[in-house]
Amino acid sequence: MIRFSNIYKHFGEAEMRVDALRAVDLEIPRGQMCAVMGPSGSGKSTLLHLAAGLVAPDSGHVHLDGDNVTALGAEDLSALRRRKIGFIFQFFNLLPYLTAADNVGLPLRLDERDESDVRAEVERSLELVGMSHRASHKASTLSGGEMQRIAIARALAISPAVVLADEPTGNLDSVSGRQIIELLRDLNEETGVTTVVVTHDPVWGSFCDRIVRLSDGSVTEDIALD
Amino acid sequence: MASGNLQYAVLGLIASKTDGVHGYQLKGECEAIADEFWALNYGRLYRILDELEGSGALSVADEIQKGRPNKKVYRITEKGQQNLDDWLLAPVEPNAQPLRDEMVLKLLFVPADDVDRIYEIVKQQRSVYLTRLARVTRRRRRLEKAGINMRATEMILDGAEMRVRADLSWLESIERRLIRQSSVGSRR
Repeated sequence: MIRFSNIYKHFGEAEMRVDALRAVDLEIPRGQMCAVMGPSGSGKSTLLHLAAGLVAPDSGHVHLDGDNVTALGAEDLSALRRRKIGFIFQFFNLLPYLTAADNVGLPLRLDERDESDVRAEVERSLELVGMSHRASHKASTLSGGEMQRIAIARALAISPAVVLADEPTGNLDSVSGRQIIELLRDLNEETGVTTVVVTHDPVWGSFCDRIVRLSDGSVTEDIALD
Repeated sequence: MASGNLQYAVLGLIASKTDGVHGYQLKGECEAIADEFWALNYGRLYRILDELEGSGALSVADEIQKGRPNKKVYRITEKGQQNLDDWLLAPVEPNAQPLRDEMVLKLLFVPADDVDRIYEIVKQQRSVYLTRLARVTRRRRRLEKAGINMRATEMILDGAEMRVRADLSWLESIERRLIRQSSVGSRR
């Protein structure tokens, strides 16, 4: 579960000031897959960054799986991200010279997990995304769609409480994009992981349980798709 | 679906059954194809069957059953097949879109300076379109998960998806116009 309570966030000052989020109240229940849509600059990515504790709000609170993210110090925040949050980026953010398996294992090794544990989790995650056959390939040799699958496996390796995906299909052609959003939906249904997807594309949004639209930093529409 | 088209749909289904088809079996076939896209009232189905029989497009034979009332078996006639072929080759007239037409009417009659009201209409309509898009997506996923490879259904779903996409883009262009018109973008 993720809860945003009366969030305000701005960037810049004086004539450069941008109010990224204003009076945002939003609760995403456990297990839900929620799309966040809206024009460029409407605050979609800021919302994800707040959930992950990557930026702090000016005022208001973010709760994630029982933790008050806003109240955590740097060390606890880092632990929260390592253990509870799977983040998926538009440009994959894989380390190109590492193999697919080592990319997936990275967050587990950073968390100093047992090596046998790491291997088992890597194997499980690669299988979940249908990429076991690419385990030993260097990330730089994979296609865009494959790289995003590896990035999803990396996000899932920690068995996160939430998956936050920022334009996960934004750098892919429409066929790979559809496969990626389908994979995220399948994983949400199979594992029950709470999933938030920022997207521009209404078709990708239509895979979710709910579409929240942001406009000028405020939630202007909240549509249940059942 | 217009009543004329419905006749051809029923005729097409019967044409695909070389051994003929019972009325109740036809109901099932209609449901499988139509699902949420086409709500068919069964009284209407039987009226259509009577009409098609009356015009000579269908033949009806009684199948005798022991201890139960006879079943009617429908088959397409040569004339019916000719009607169906003619229809398949005829160009398709653009489909009326009642929902969009109603949107157009609303936009015509809402005062042009009532930006808030236009935003409200756009929002409501977007919810309708997104809900429809989600139905298309769910139907596609159900078919894929069931491993059903229905080329025609895939094409129909592609078309439905593209039309909703166009409707949603239209709403976005209305919004952009409103933003250009109003000096303050924060009236929502």
